[in-house]
Amino acid sequence: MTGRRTVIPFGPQHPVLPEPIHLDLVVEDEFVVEAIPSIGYVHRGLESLVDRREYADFVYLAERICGICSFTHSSTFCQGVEGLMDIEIPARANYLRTMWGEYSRLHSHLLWLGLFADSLGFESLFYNAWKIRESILNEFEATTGGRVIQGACKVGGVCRDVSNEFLSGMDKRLDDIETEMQEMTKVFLSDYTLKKRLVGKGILKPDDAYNLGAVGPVARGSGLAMDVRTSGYLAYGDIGVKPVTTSGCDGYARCEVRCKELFQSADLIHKIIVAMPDGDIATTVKGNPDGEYFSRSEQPRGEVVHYLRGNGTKYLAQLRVRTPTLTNLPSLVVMLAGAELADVPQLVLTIDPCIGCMER
Amino acid sequence: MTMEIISVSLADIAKAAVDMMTRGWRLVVITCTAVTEEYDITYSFAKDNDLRHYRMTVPEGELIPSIGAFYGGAFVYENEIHDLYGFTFTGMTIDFGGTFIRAAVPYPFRKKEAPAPKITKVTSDGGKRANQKPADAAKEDVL
Amino acid sequence: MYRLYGEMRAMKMLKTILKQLSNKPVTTTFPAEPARYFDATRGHIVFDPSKCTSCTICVKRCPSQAITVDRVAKLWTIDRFRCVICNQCVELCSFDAVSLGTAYSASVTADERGTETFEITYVRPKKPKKEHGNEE
Repeated sequence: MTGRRTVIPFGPQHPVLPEPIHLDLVVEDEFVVEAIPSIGYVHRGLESLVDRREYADFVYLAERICGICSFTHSSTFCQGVEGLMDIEIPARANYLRTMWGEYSRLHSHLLWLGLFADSLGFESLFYNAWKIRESILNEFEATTGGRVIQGACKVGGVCRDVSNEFLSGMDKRLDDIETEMQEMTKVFLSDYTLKKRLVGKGILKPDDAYNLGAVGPVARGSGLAMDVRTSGYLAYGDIGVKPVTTSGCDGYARCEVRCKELFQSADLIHKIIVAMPDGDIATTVKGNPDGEYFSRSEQPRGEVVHYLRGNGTKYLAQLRVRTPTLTNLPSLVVMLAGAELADVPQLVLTIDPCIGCMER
Repeated sequence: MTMEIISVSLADIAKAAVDMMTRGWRLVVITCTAVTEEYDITYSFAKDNDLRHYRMTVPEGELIPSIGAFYGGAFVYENEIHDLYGFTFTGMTIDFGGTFIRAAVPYPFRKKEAPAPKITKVTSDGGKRANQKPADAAKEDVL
Repeated sequence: MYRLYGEMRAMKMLKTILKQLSNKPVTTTFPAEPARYFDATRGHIVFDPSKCTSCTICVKRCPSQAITVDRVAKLWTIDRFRCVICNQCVELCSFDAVSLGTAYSASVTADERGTETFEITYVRPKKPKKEHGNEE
C-alpha cells in the first residue's frame, strides 16, 4: 500500500498563510495520513537580546514578539518583572491593563475571523470583520497612541491614563460594535457553506487535546474549560471569568468559541469600565530584579508563559517565552491526520497560527 | 497560582513525567537556562491553575531521555532545546535532526567563552549592518 | 422548498444591499483627504534643539538604538528607520527636548536612510554664585 503514498509540501508560501510554516503532507488518495510540521523560517533570537537591554527597555521588545497579541506580551513581561521585584501596581493600572488586554482579544479574534473567511473565499465577510476591527483599533490609537503595537505598559504600571469621560464614551461605542458583531457572527455560525466546510472536520478529542498540551480556543473547542484568566491575575479576580467552551471538537467548534469570546470580552470590558478605580497609574520602580518567575497570561490564542530569571543587575539573565502556537502545533498534527487534502488550509487556520510569535 | 520547583536527577525525569501524566497534569513548557557551569532544564506541568516544576542540572552536550512517549507535545520543546542549546534527546517522537529551527550559527544560545557585548555600537551614519557590501558602506560614509 | 429558501436569502441580501447604497463608505481616499490622527497618536519624534543638554539618556535607553549624539560637534541624529516611536525618550528626557508629533513621518527611499540631524543650540545658563556646581 505504501506505493500509493505521496508527499505533498505545503507552505511556507501559501495563499492562506500570512506567515511561513511548512508542512509535509503524506497523502494517500485524497486523504492526509500524516503531517510533519517544520518551522524556523522567522526565528529572530529575540530572547537572547535580554542580556543586552535593560529590563525596563525590554518591555518594548517583548511587545514586538507578536504583532497581534502585542499588548498581552508586554503586560505578561511586566507582570513577570513585577513578580521578581515584589511590586504591587496601582489598581487603576491593573484595570487599564485588563481592559486593553480584552480589547486586544477582540481585535485578534476579529482579525482571525476575517482571515478565516478569506481562506474560505468569503471576501465580503472578510471585509466586514476587518471593518469592525478598525473601530477597535481606533479605540487603541485614541487611548494608547498605537494601533497594533500599543506601547502602553511599563514596569510598575502603565504609561498612559484614560480619562473617565473617554471611558464612558468607549462603553457606548462598544454597544454599537457589539450589534455589528452580532450580525457578523450570525453568518459565521449559520452560513451553509461555512458549516459544510467546518462541521466534523479536524477532530481533536478532549483527551488528545489535554495530553498534547493544547491551550486557548483550541482546547476550549474540545470542551476543556482551560483559561488562565480564571486564576485571577490582573483584575480578572475581581471581575470574574467563566471560560467559553463548546463540545464539538471540530473546526466549527473552534470558530464558535472565538465568536462567543467576542461577546465575553465585550461584556468584560463593560464591567471593567464600570468598576474602574481612580488613582495613580504607575509606581516608582527601584532596584534590580533577582530570582526567577513564571508569568502566565491568557492571550487571544491561549496561554502564554514568560520565564524570567534575574541576576541582581539591570539586565535579566534569561527570558524564555512559550507562546500558544508552539504548544498548539502537536494538536495540529493530530487534527490533520485523516483530513481531506482540500481541507488542510482552513484546518491550519483553525489553530490561529502565529509563526512569528511561535519562533520569537 | 503556586510555583514549586522540585529537583530531579537525569535518570528520574522519565519516571517523574509518567507520574505527572497519570495524575492528570499537562506539560506546559520545557525551559533550558544557562547557569554558571552547567544548564538547568526545567519541566513545567500544570493542573487547573497550579504550576509545578521539575528541574535537573546537566553539563553541556548531555544525552537526555525524551518524555515524548508520555507527552505527545514534548517534541517541539525538545527539538527546540536541541537546536538552540545542543542537547541530544533520545527517543523523541518526531526528530527533526537539527532542522526545527534553522539558525545561521550552530547552537546560538549555548554559553560562550566571552560574554556578549552589552550594547551594540551604532555608528553616526545610522547603524551600518555588518553584512553590508563594502561598496554600500563606502557610500554610507559619504552620507 | 429550495425556492422558498432562495427567496428568503434574496430578501436578506436586499436589505444589506440597500444599506450599502445608503451608507457612506468606511474607507477614506487618503492622499486627497488628509489622514485622521488622534491626540494620543504616536506619529513621530519631535526634537527641540534649544532645550537639549546632550545628557545622552535618550541614546543609552533607546530600545532600537535609533538616536546618536555627537557632544563635540553638538549634533543630535535620529534614524527614522530604526525609531519605533515607543515614547521611551520622551518619558525619560527631563528637559522636554523630545516630544511626540501626531502625524506619521513621510516615507523615504532606502538611499535617503531616513536620518535627520539637528544642531543643538542649547546654551548652558550661567550660574554666578555656585562655582563648583557642575551639572551634567
